[in-house]
Amino acid sequence: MSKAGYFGEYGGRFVSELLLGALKELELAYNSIRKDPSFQKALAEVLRDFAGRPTPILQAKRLAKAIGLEATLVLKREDLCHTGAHKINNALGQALMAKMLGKSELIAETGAGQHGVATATVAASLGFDSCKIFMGTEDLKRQAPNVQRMELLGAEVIPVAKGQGTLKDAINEAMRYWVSHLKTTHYLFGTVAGPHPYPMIVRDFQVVIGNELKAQMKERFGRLPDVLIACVGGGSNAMGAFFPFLDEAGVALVGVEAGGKGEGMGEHAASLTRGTVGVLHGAMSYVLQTDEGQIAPVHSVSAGLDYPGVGPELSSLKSTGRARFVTASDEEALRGFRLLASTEGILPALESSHALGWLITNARAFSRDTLIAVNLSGRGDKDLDLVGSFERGRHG
Amino acid sequence: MGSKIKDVFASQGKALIGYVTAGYPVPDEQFFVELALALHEAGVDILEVGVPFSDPMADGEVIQRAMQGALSGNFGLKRTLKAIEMLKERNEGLPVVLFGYFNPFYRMGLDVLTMRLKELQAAGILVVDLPVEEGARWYRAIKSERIDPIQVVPNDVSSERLQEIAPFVGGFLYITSTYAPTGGTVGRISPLSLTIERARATLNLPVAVGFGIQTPEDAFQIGKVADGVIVGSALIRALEDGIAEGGPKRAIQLAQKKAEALKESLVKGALLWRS
Repeated sequence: MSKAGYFGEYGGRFVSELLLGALKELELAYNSIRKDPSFQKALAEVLRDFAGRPTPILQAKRLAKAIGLEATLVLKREDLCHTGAHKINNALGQALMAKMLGKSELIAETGAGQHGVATATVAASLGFDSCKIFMGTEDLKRQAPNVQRMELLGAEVIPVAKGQGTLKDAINEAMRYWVSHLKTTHYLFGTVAGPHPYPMIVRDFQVVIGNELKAQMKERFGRLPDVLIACVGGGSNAMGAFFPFLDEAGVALVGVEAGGKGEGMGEHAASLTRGTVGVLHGAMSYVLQTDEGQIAPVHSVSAGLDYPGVGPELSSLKSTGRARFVTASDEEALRGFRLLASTEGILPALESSHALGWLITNARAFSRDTLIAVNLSGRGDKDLDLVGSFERGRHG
Repeated sequence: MGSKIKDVFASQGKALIGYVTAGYPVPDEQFFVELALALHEAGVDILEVGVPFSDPMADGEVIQRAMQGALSGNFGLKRTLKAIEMLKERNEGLPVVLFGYFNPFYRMGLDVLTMRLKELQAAGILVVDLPVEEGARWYRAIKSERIDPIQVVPNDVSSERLQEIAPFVGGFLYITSTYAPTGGTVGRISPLSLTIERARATLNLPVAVGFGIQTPEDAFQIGKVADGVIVGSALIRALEDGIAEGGPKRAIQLAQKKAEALKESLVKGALLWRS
């Protein structure tokens, strides 16, 4: 029997028979829709007119100087996307597809709330009858402004108190809802994890980041970057940025995971760096788990990285050595947050701040002639309360 | 040489399959043994033993709560297997099906698990999130050890799909009464009976129905069309009521009563159907 949806040894479709049919149907539909020129045209239009693409690149000279980085530093400004993060790229793609499939309801999980906001936004703008966003109760507290935004956009935010009350638990609950409403509902999954075909679909809709970046780097600098850095939670912004560069051997790919507050179980969310291979949410991939195969508790200052799994394609990039995975701690991420704000006038999302945080710590490792690109996946307005309370907690 | 599970169906006519989450509501191996023995006495023909898992994506509120409760008491896969071993020492006659999510099994190592299941003379295994596409090799391996891989299919499963899973299914076919997580309400009988006919014709196996079977009336109705019913959340609710009323002993009593009532009704449905 053929094994669908694998990246090397990772991926697959580890779900019950009740979901299997829906996933196969989705795969078939996607494979025909992706080749449909009218779909691609409609997607290109909404990405331009609604999401505001292409997003620019910016050379961050003042930040480079402040952190003692001699190399040239470029930011890919996904924070300038409508709704404030790269999540809108995938939301638009999947929602257009769901429309073509005749679905009337969208559901989604969200951690930081960025994917929830993106889904609520496309549900409103494309005229879906209903939109439900599943969000852990812990994240509801951490990302209150995004909850308000989703509700204003007409979505129903469903609190999930089970487990740790974070992203993982929201996914469990969304899957449970979906299996009972398959006919009318599209599950607009937000990252490159989950069962096949989601890792492929979400990556394809995020590849626009890397494609634009490639062209922009050639145009501005006459060459590709030497190093491309992205933060990794589930991995959608990283996969979208990395994918067009996979065959460019001269481009080093660095994924930065949430190092949290320590190396012990429950103190971080670094699935690739500190996890082992297992199955979570329908895919074989790196997972943070106990010796007995229970999914481990995780921690990160950023709600969007606070996930014990990771996309299977990223696991495969780790195995082949094509990408390197590292961590940035809560402290390092906050340093990135503050420095980008004060030197460049940009408030980055705490997720993206991890990529900056790692670069700041390792700035001296890069020589003058190196060209570095960082995918600035989102903006940080949603994180102001969190940053404030973290600083108070540290000093108070 | 045959399947213990098939033997049960052959001798019982209609089988009552009871599900309990190991380590719940009391995270203690001895409690599990007493509960299993009581359920057997009450008419449970096959016992499905749920391995607690942190993320039971296909289960509803009740089984989620049970798994979380067991894990809070540090009751995972190893203690579940230990509890089954203790049960075997007391009772050889009750066929046991290990029920669980794939990750704890994968983490233990499938070869190690297969060996343990052989030692425990387990009758079958049901892995919620391991469809035949992913589990083909292992399902074949355990089948050759005479452990039945139980496959769960939805109430509208096609003949094509039944043929695809046929090489990897043993014991009985588990059909869900509805598209939903476990523990909801029971699905309608009319489309179900057609699916059951189709499955019997394709697989030459007994067919049991689960998901949402709570009352003797549900068991009666399902008993008219299927070879067995699977009851899980309803037994766990009875256990929880018992704990609230008077503790572990009362919990076992109430679960036993629940199983007796379901069995009686199931048999009645079968008799009516035959006459």
